Amino acid sequence: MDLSPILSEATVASAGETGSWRNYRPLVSSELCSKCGNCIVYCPEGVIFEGVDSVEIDYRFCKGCGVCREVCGQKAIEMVPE
Amino acid sequence: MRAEGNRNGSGVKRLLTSNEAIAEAVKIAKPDVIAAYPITPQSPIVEKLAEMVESGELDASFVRVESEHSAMAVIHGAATAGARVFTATSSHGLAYMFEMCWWIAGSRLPAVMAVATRSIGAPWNIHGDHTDIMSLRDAGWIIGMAESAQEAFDMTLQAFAVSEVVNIPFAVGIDAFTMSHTAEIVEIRNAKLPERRQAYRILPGMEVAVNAVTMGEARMKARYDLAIDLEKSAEVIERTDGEFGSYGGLVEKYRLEDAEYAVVMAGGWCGDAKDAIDMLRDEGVRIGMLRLRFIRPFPEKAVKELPSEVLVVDRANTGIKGILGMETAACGVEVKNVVAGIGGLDVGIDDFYRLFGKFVDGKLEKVEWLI
Amino acid sequence: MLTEVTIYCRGGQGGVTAARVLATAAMLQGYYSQAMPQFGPERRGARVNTYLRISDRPIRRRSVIKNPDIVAVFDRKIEIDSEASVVILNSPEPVQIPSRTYYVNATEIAERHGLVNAGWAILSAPMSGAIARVLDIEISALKEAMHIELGERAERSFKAAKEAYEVIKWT
Repeated sequence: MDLSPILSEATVASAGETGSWRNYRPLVSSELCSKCGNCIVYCPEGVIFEGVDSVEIDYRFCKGCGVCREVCGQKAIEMVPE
Repeated sequence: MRAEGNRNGSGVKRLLTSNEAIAEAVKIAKPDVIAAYPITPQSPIVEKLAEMVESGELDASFVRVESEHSAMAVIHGAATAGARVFTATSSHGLAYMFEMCWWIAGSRLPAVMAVATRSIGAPWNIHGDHTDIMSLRDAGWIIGMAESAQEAFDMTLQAFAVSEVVNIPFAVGIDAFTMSHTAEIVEIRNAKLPERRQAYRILPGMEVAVNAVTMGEARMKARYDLAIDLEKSAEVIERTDGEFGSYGGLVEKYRLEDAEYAVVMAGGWCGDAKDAIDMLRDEGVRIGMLRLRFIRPFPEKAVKELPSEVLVVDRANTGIKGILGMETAACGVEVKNVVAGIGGLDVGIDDFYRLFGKFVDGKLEKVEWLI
Repeated sequence: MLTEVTIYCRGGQGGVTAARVLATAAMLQGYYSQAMPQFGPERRGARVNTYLRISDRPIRRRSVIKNPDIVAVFDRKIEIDSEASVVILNSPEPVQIPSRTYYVNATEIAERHGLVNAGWAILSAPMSGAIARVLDIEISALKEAMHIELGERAERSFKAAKEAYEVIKWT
């Protein structure tokens, strides 16, 4: 039985590095970020992680949608043109 | 008063409804996970299984869910991990579960579901017809229809055996109330099922994507493979028939050898129709029945071997036609088609006798409703 | 030979249980049997029919019984709209109807044996005893059937059934 339509290898970036699609880059201010985690929850790509001083964004996959900036209560994220 | 009639066979004889017979068969199959939501007239099946789990008679996880959609989702998940699974439903429950029925079939996971076949509202009706189970035809399930509590018992066990070989879920249909709640003598045959097998398992720690988004090519292939494998499941059903009661595989042929007239039917009301056939036979009418034990895979070969005069009696309709009438005609057979017994409307031996007489006399329209 | 019995009763009086006990008893004597409840609103006190078939050959039919050989009436207030040749009545005294009639005061027997639930005498035990007698089912088979179908409730129920089996009269 050919299972290829059902099962596939769980690889990171099966569609390539989607970060290359980005027009605006979210920049996190480590001074303002309280690491509340709101952006981690809301990021539709799941590419924001808790870092040492602030949240950190995996720019290989961030598509620059800006949802993280919208949900940030600290206004710690700024969208900067690439 | 004494008789010896029911003494044949080696198993213990018990008086069981088809609901109870299915629960006994499931117990023998030793499922790992059962998930279900109650609905009339199926509820006694899972109530009995819940009692068995509670008393320790059956070592299974019984998952109480908030809906039929969740019931099917739970057994889908459990089956993915390799569990032998069972659920049961009827009517609106099946309708609510419908989406997940497609998921489990498309995922090629073995599973067994009993359907106590009941009308779907509106108007509100809890009684028997085949409307609900016929809606499963396109989803990619094997669909069996039992005629007696004994056959419900045997077919449920066969369902596990077949489903786990062909990787296709299997629905066992029993008529609401006239089977689900009617107690008959059942021989508890000791079937031993092989260990659970299936095409794949997903276990903790495995890194694999299941049912990721596909484009047309992969979806087309998955659908084609399922259609082909569903057709091929006929071989497994025929091959294992002898282990589960020897009913004849996809069909039961009743007095068909020399028949000029054939009636095509499925389900619990076939017994009354057989008694009517016997009455006509006593009058010299060469009539017999092709009882469809399976709706999927559809018994095309047996249908094509029927004599030229064919009457299909349906308990579910699509538009003005009966569903089995349409399916039978699609095999290239000229049929007369009667829709009857919707919503549990009683159709007895006398009704069948009159109907078959009209058929033999050539007085039936192409499509008629027995109202 | 096929014998068809229709039980006329009210929801909660034990008609379904009686049919099951009798079907099991017949099974124990080597017969094929079938107990089929009528399927309507499950409403306490509402009039319901229950069907019992016993035969020396496999029973294939599952439609309702239209012309019963025997009618068993659990409540005298229910109109007997059948031409059955034999009628078994729960009644303290004989009733004049054209059929061959048996009668037993099942309510009194049930009450005396404490078979009462929420204001209703549970008649499954005495009426199954009475019907078993008419059907020529052996008392030992009835006892075993009650143990199979009723479990721990069987002991008391059997005493009531046995009494009805013994005292049933025909008119």
